[in-house]
Amino acid sequence: MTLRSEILTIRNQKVHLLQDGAGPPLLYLHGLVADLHSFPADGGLTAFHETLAQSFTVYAPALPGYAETEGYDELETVEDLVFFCLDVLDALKLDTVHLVGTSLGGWVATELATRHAHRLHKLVLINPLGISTSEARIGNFFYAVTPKAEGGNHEVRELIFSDQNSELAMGAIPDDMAPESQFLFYKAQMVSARIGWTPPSLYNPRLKDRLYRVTVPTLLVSAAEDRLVPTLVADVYQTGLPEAKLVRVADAAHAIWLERPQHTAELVTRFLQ
Amino acid sequence: MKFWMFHLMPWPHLPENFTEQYDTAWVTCSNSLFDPERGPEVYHQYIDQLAYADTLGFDGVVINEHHQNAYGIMPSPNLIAAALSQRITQARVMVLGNGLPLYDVPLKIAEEFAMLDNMFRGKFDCGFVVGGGPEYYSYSKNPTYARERFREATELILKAWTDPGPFSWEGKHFPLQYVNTWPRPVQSPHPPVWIPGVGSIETMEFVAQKGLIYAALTYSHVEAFRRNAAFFQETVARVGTSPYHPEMLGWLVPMYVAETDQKAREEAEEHIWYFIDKLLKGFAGKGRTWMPPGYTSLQSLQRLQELNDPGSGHASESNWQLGHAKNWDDIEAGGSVLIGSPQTVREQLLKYVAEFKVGHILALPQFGSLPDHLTRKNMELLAGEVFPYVRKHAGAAFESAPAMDAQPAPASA
Repeated sequence: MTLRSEILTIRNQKVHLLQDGAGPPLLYLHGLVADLHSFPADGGLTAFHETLAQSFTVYAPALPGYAETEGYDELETVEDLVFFCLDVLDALKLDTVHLVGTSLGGWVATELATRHAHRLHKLVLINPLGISTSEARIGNFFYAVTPKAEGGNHEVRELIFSDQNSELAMGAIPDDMAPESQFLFYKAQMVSARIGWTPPSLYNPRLKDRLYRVTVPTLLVSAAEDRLVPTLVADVYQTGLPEAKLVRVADAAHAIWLERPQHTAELVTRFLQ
Repeated sequence: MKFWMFHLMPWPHLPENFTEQYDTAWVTCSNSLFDPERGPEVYHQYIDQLAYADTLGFDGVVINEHHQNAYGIMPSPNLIAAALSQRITQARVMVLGNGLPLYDVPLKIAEEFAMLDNMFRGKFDCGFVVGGGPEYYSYSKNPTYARERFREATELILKAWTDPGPFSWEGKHFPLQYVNTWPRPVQSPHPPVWIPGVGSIETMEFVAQKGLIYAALTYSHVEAFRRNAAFFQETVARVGTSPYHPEMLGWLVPMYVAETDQKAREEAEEHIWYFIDKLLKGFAGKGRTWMPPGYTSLQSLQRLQELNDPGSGHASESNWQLGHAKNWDDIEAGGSVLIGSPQTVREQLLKYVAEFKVGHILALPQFGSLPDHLTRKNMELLAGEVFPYVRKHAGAAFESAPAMDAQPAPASA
């Protein structure tokens, strides 16, 4: 099956969905920036998602406020994104799925799993946001993304990528963005700020103590050089999740699924099969 | 025509090497640079300057709110206003303003402004402001709610002043069982309310519909202000509660007057550079532009992008900021800092006043590190040789000025 990019209408709102591949259903929840639905270059899949689509039917909705998906104005907390995902699953008539979330999507996936684990076969979390403690504090994303009159966007690239000067990093978050890209980039920040502005940012203080409810096999992928989500966060996740297997990847940064797509996709595929 | 003295209360003792050694005067500028031994003198000097404006015959004085920076050491202008209530007898006093979204119970602002209206016996103006982008970092308030909270708090305070209490308020951000503000304001229906903006249609319509006063406080390019002034007049004509009057519009202008043009520049220049290079450092041009996510609506961002586009015909003035200035020509190119002899400044000011039909000039006679004696000399020349001339000719000038062409305006506030 080839890639389909379509706009669904769910509860009277547009939902932008990418769908590709064949096999068991896999719901993918995208990351904070520079991922599907906020990658300015094009509206397609990345190599990571294409590899997953060789073994699964990948459904990748844009969260409210990202790409064409509506519903930003009503958004208040991460809980609203959980309801959004449930609505998407129901609209697609998917009873149970594998759930894969990266970064922001990893946080949302965990929130969903603490409430509705029965909708999941297995769960994969790649550098998930959502937990921040005084010892394991999420990086200062909202300070880094403030537009710079001079000096460009290097601060946010440094948080996300291992090599902020790489073609990939510069392509995803250039210093000088075309107005359309700037608009998408800003819109994506608005969503994450709406639910995650409160310091230390992008977390839910209640999540840590609810992890015990995630009663499905879980793979945690943690990049050793992640500057946005310190590896200590993955340790907190692992401690709380009943069935988690933690894989640490050396020499990798936050956007590991973009920078090392084959390796990351293999980890995920092997775990899910 | 009203002439006000605006004061920012800047910290004037940043180190010599600040521009080279520090990133910003905002949010993360360490308060170790504040010197408690010099603080009291700075505050008293500034308060004395504001009281002196009353003696000189300024129509009013204006103070404002900033947090956690060296740009303005007035986190609570209401405290300064209270002090001024014991010093100022003739002039009006304006707090422009309080950052409504930064506070969780806006009733405190309704109460304090009503107190001040009583303490000034009705000679009090107030302002409601969204707060700058940096404030949302300094207070960690969610910027995606800035506009919603501002709108709701404004409606709430106006109702608290005008409807008999107690009543309940079923707001999204400020639900309240009992709204019953004691004291009530002296002025009826309430003190004049000023709202600053940089051109957004929504803000202008709100101001016009509520009969409030619109103010430009951004040191933007004079052509950007011209465009916004015209658009505001058109907005008042379209949705306002009464016909446009110049005293519905205010304009903040740094001004320095000395005996000759040359002397004015000689005396003022280093202090203007202190303002631009040190106090605006990190705010614009040389670091962050401080637009936290959601602080600007997507609609405003799009309009801003359109105006900044080289094809728009407005790009040069839309992109110009005082903080970008690198040399004297850059400052002059913006046209929004008035410096020179009394004759130079009054002719220029009268021309702008007439063309823009702006009835409130918020003069900024102290800026950066400008010392007390020069500030006072400047104020004396403004009050003695500039304002009377402009006041005398403004009426006729308003009458004879050609109507301005309104064009859609850009931006975020």
